[in-house]
Amino acid sequence: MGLKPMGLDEKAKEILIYQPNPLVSVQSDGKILITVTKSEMGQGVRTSMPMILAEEMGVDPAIFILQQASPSSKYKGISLGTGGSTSLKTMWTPLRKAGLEVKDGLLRAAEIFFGVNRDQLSIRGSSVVTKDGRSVSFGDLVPIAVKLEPNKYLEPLKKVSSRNYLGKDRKRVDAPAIVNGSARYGIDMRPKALKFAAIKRPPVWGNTLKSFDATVTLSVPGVRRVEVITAGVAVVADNSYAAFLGREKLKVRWNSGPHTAFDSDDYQRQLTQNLESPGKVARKDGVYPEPHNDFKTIEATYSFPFHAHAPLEPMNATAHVTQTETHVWVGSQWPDAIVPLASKITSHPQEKVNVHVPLLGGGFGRRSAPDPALEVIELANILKTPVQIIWDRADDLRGGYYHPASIHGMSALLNPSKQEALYYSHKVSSPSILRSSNPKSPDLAVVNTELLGARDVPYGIDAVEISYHELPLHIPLWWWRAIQFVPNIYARECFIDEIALSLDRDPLEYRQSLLSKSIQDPALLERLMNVISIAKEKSNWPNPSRKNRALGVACMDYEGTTVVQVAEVSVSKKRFKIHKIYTVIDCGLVVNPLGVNAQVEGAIVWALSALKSQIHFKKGRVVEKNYKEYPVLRYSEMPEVNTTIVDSDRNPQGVGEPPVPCVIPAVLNAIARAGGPRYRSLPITKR
Amino acid sequence: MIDLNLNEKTFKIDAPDEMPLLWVLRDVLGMTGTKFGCGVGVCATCTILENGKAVMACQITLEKTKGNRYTTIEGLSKDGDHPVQKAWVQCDVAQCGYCQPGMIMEACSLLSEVSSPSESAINKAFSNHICRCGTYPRIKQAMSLLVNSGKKE
Ligand code: FES
Ligand code: FES
Repeated sequence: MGLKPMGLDEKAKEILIYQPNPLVSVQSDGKILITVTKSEMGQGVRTSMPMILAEEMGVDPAIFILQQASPSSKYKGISLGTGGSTSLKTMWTPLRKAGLEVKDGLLRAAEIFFGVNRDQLSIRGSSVVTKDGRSVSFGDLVPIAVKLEPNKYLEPLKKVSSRNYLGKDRKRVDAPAIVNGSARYGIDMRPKALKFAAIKRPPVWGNTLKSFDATVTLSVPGVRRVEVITAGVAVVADNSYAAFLGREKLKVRWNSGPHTAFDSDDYQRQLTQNLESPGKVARKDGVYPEPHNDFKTIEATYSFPFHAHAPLEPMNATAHVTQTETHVWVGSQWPDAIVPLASKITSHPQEKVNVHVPLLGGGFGRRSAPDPALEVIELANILKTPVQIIWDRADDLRGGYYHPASIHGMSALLNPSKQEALYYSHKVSSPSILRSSNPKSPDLAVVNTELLGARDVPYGIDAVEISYHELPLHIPLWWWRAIQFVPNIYARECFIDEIALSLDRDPLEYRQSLLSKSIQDPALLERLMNVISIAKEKSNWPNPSRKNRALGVACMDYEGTTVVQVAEVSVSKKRFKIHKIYTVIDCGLVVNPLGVNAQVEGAIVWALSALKSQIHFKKGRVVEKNYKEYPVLRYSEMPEVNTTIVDSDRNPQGVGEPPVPCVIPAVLNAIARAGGPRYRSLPITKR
Repeated sequence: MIDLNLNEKTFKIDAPDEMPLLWVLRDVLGMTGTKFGCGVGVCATCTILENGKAVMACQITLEKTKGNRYTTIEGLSKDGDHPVQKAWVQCDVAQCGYCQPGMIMEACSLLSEVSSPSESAINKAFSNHICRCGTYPRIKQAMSLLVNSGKKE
């Protein structure tokens, strides 16, 4: 609550603001401002989050004016961190509460305004109306509302059946700005007198600057300055072109660091050997059965390569550091994390560090790392004028933060005569992402994170053994859309198909029978059984829609979101084509079905892109430098998508990441069933 | 000094001949609707129209613009009511939106050549373009909406 002078215009009217909650404020001029506390990177939070608040407030979300949150102590308890498919899961209750609080305040003000009881009042449009037809706008209630005591009790949250907005398709709020080119991303920030900078970075992570010669660089038209910062040598120019050209002309020598011999192919071989190391056993159920002549062991090793995020908007950040304040504009998934680090660089107190978050041209985890913001702040602190550091695609692919490679040792003991598996084991060998970002991470957290999707295998097999085999690596690793679930589910769900095949069982029905024998959380098992039976019907399992095609299946629970995917492929002479991906998803209550569908489509593209590409290191350098070498899925390769969203009244769960992991095993299982090879190593280069 | 014919206006540009048009637009003129994705002609994010046909702005130097007419996303319509823009909103195509100006310009180029392009012509037109968020299915929907309304006319 507070006063805000409007400026010196002729009316000089003061705008009163009623703000019962940091997420919403109503102004006396009638505007309703909603603060969006998560970064918009295409997942639709700027559309879905206001829907939740609007539903409880009883208004149309279209009347809101959205403002993007900057890190501030006023959001106590609400993290601006955006990732892990947690936005709606974590903001569900705070947004509903905010909606109820502001509605309650306006209604109490209206009781005073009209001198009637609450039961005579209701909300229509952006007004409160009485049963006898009188009406007052929200804006006119603000002067009364600001004087009210904070709410003591709130009406219970709305029942599902009476919802007006939740669960109904709502188009992206930023679409008009996107289609006319006025939507602003980090790379579009243009503070006055902006300079552009490109950084010559060490070719190998960990190499340090020895010397440089900028003579030619400084003669490039438009180049203004050359400065050394922690990240490398910065060429500051009037435009990006001059900055890139000037950087090309720099002569730089580097001191070798510890990683000049790093070779990712070698490292993957070491990861395979590392499967034999003792490892940390995270789960051991039952006992390994007594040997028997009829029993049969099957084993398989799956490998998953290094990946980059490669969002279409390359990394960038813009900063202006004055004597007293730090401003940075950056498409960050974790603006809170930047503040204390920036404050150390510029020595400004944290309240004077302003992190502005524009739209993100894709995030996928990469933009939760603070490095682009910190390097531009360091440079702006030297220049004291506004500057943008722009990364080209090679900087983006080579400048750090990778999803790590992993090797998966799978084995099972089968009793073919009874068509059952007696023992199942999954060993994961990989470097730890958690340890890469924080060397002091406790072992338990490391093991739990690296085994996501592996340790929680839901199937009812008597003896199960899951272990983690860490192989340290000191190049920068980071979270990537759907994180370790991707490699772990790929190995697990492919191997389950291999078991089913060895036992001569239908892979989908085999999964059903394993789940029916499982003793895990009954609610989870019920969800899995439910999505599988829907998928079976939708895909007409086991019959593909055409003769020369085959179906493959995979399923999982992703921290509360339950997914099954069925792929339809055809194979001819070692080439394969992916025709269709069926998805059945139970993600709890659906806020915006249109958004959920978009996320499923995006997740499929993400996963199918990962089938095509990898990052290699040779002599410590990343080989790939653009989308040519790091290909992603193209328009003409897009399979048909068939998505079913299960009705649920559980609280909303995540949806951006959960539909990623099962795509790869469903496709690979389908290829094997269509008579193609059993792929156990990615990417697949021949198609 | 080069005269640049852009969005039906002439701009006097003082920049090196070899500067790609992409940077002229974004950094010299401050028209940031045209986006940078790869800089080497493999993502088509920077697609604009040259005499009505789709070209990649990162692949055209300022010098080569002489005598040509250019349209960027900012110049497509006054009120965002170009049929392609409307179809894009109606089909809720965008996710992050970063690739969309390029996609929209591509669609405009294709539809100005043939009012109802075949599926393979559409595939070919968008085969240069990258959308990392995965909006391909909705682009397909928007294109079929446009093709069908083109047929009705
Ligand atoms: S930026 Fe021009 S094609 Fe990629
Ligand atoms: S919508 Fe994000 S890259 Fe296409």
